[in-house]
Amino acid sequence: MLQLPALATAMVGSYPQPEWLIDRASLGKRLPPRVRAAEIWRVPGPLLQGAQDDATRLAIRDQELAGLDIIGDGEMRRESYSNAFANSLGGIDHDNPGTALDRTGKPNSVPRVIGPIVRHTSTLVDEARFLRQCTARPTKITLPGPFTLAQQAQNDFYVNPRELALAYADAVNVEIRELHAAGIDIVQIDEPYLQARPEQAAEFGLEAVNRAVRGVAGMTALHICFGYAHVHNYAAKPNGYSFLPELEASTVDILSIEAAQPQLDLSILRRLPSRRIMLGVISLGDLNVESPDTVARRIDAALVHVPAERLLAAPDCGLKYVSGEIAMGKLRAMVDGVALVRGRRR
Amino acid sequence: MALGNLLQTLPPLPTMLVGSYVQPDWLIDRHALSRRAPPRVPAPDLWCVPPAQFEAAADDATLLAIDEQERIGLDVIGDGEIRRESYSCTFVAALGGIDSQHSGTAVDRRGKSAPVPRVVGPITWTRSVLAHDVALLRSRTSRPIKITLPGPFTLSQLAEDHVYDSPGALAMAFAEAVNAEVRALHAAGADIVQLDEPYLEARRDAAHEYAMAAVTRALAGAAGATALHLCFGYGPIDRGHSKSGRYALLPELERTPVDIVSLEAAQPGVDAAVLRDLPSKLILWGCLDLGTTQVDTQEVVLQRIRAAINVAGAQQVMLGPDCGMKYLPRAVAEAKLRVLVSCARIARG
Repeated sequence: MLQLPALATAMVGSYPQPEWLIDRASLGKRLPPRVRAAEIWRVPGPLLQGAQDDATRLAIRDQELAGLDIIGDGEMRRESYSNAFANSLGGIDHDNPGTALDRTGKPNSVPRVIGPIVRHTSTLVDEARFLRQCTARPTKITLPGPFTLAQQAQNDFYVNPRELALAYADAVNVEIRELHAAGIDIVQIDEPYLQARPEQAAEFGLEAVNRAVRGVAGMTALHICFGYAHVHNYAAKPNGYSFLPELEASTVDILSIEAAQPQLDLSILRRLPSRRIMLGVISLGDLNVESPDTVARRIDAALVHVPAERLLAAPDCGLKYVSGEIAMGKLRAMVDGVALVRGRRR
Repeated sequence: MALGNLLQTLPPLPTMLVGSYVQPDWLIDRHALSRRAPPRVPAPDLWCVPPAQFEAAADDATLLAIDEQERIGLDVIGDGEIRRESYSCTFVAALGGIDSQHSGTAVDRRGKSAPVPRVVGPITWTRSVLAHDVALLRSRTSRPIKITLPGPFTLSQLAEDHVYDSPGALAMAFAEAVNAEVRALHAAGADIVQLDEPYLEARRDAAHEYAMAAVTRALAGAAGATALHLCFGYGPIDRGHSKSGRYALLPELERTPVDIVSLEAAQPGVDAAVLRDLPSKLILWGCLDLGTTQVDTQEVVLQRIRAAINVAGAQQVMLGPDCGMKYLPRAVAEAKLRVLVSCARIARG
């Protein structure tokens, strides 16, 4: 398994897509798409993949230049973190989408499940291979987790939401294995809705997550958060999760937890003694670039509860809605903050 | 001396582009570009990105070209002329004295009429348009960097002149402007500044008359290494026209102050013996045939390299493709350059 240094740095998932690739203003004005939203791309169909490849190359290079230890593809090819994978599955009615309430409380078009969830070939494995070719550093790829997938769907087939989530978990499980087989070091499932829907999370969230990663040989991660700051209009966030210590019983290796913007009470980390913690040390609710000192203080505050060997550093969430300049500034600040802490520990 | 310092940081037989690299399809309509002569005036209809987004898109595409050259292993990195419709139009369009509303007409090296800059006032240089690309290069790579711009003789051949008494006077006026740009580019951090003079071979009689004075004026007081590129036209778009392979102006170039002479050699099969006409110059020797999408074999490229070394000596030779790679498929350009890089390593021993 991958050897990680103490306080390894990574992005959570998305990096800002360039304006020549995607209509950022249009993307920023709407809820994250759950069905396909091809209209937001600026490059015509036959040229789009080449353009996405180029944007991905730049995102990878930016992470390397910022000094990140673990490199992702920045989700350059995605309209949202979840919709490509969600809509690649069989059992979805593509002609008649459903509706579901987003965690902001607003209705959003979602995949409508009319039959058994089946995993067909997705594009993620090709994307994983591309990422592997572009960097020699450890790699991480993200995909939506089963609980969140079930929350972002209209269920017109399964008896109850739990059955739907478990069906999604089986599809995600196959994908995780294929991504590891393609050479990706860490596969991360994104489960923000574990925090958004705590009652259902308590019922079957852990079961769905563990089913998604069962028997998986490589390293896994799970991301949980309070939602994109931009999408939530930079509203204040609670300083505690409704669902988190339960994940101590999960079999994912790394828990990626938003912490900076909500000023999370970090004592909760003591209830996760056997998990690695990828802690959010960069806020996306404040567009000012942090000083390395601020980042170092956030890490020090976590080190009171978690030893450095189990701690990784990341931004709170995806950088999709932040400008390229701010994203790069924040990543550099994060790496510099980690360097300060590493320097003091020697 | 800047050239000496530069050479010390480079391995023997350093590799580099001549000028242009492949532009991305999402930035420019490559199909439309390849079906016309190189634009002499800006052709905004070729770009795929609206004006409001162009600079950021061109910056990103330039960074991609820089990164790709580094990945391939080139020793000197260029901007790939990514934000230009042609090697010449961006620079000349920014000069004072050029009619920005109406273009003129001139006959190009293939005998065809084409829109060209119309000179309606004294040529003046006010600010650098290429220093931005030098800054991008300098911030992105720590390797030596090269920037290209059109030379004064070629500019004088591709303009419709309503001001100067003679083409020679026009060339000298362009030379003043080019000189100002050369100085600005070295000051911005360019290690090599290269003048592109393909029309030296297309208009030999005129070149004999007034080219060298213009070139010398353009390079006067240069603070860094300078180069001059000559060729017989773009391989992929001049395929139908035979390339004579004979250079007529090398002894005259030997007498100019340029440091490096960049010569197309592979496609026309230039005999390396011509390098005897350039004993004091460093030679950027064209080792890749850009008239074909076939990737040059190691064997053939090594032969080309060794032919140049045998005449000019290993200390005097630098290695590149024949010309700009603008019109090649991307995968082909990369593959050809990778062959060049591996052959350079073999030839270094």
